[in-house]
Amino acid sequence: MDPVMLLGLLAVGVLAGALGTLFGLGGGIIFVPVLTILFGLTPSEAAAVSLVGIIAASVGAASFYVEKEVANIRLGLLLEITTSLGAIAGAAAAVYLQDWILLVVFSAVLLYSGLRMALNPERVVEHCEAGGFSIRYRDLREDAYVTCSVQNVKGGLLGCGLAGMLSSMTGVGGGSIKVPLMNVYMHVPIKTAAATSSYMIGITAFSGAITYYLGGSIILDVAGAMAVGAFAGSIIGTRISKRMDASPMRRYMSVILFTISAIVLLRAGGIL
Amino acid sequence: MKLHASTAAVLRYGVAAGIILIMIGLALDAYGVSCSLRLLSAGILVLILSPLFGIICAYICLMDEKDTKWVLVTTLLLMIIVSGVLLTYLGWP
Repeated sequence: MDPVMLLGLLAVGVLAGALGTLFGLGGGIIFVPVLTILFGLTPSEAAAVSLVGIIAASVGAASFYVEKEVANIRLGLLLEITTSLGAIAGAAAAVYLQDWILLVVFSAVLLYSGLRMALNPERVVEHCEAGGFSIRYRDLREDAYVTCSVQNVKGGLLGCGLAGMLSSMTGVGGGSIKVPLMNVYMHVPIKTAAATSSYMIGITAFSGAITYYLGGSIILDVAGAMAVGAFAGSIIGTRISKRMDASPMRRYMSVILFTISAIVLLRAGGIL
Repeated sequence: MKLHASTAAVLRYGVAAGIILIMIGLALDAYGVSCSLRLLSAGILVLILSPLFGIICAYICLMDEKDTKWVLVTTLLLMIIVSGVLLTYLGWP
C-alpha cells in the first residue's frame, strides 16, 4: 500500500475512533463518507472496512470501560437483544421502504434527541422504582461506585429495537440513538450510557463484519490500517472521557447529534 | 469469576492479539512478503470475533454466579446473534 494512503487511513481511524469512543457512537458516520469520497471505495467496500474499524474502536474502548465498570454488561446485553432483532428485521424492511424516507426519519430522531439533551438537565434515579432495575457503575472522576436505577426498561428495549432497525436500514450507526435513549429516557448517566453503547456497538458490528469476512469482501490492508488507527483512537477517547465532566459531555454530544442529523439529511437529499 | 474483570480481560486480549497480527501483516505487506495477507486476514478475524468471545465469557461468569435471569438474557442474545448471522449468510432478506 502507498505510504500516504496508509498514513491517511491511520489518521482517519484515530479521529473516528477517538470521537466514537468518547460519545459511544462507533464512528461509522465518519468512516463511510471518508472512505467513499477520499479513498474512492464503493459503498459496500466502505461498509465492510468501516465495520472492522468500528469493532477495533468499540472493543478497544469497551475493554477499558468494562474493566473500570463504567460500562454495564447486564444493561448492554439486555438492550442488545432488541437491537439485534431490530437489525435483522430492518434488513428485510429496507427492501420495501425508500431510503430517503428512512434517512429523514433518522435525521428527525437525532434532532429531537439533540434538543432534549441540550435543554433538559440530566436526571439520575438513585432508588429503584417499580419496573426498573438497579445498576452499579463507577464514577472515574470521583473514584466512587454509584448505584442508579434504570427506568422505562420496556420502552427502552422497544427504542433499541427501532434504533437497530433504522441503523441496519440506513447504514448509519445506532449509537447516536441509543446513547440519548439511555441517557434521556432511561435515566442512565451519560458516561455509563456512552460506555455501555461502545460495548454494545462491537456486538452489533460483529454480525455484519463476520458476514462480510466469510464472503471475502473485506479489503484486508485498508481494513487493517483503519483498525490500527481506530484502536489507537479508542485509547485516546477513553482517556479524554475519564477527565471530562458529565454536563459539558452532554453539550458536546448534542452538537454532535445536530451535526450527524445534518449529514444524514444531506444524504437523504442525495448530496452526500 | 468476576463478570466485568473477566470480560474486560477477554476483550483486551482479543483486540490486542488482532491488532498485533494486523500490524505485523501491514509491516510485511510493505516489504512485499507473500504471507502478509494471510496474517492480515487472521488478525482481522480475531478482531471481529473478540466481541463474541466477550459475550461467551460474560455467559460463563453469569452461570458461575448462578444468575439465572441474566443467563437467560444472554442465551437469548446468543441465539439471536447466531440466527442473524446464519440468516444473512443464507441470503436474507
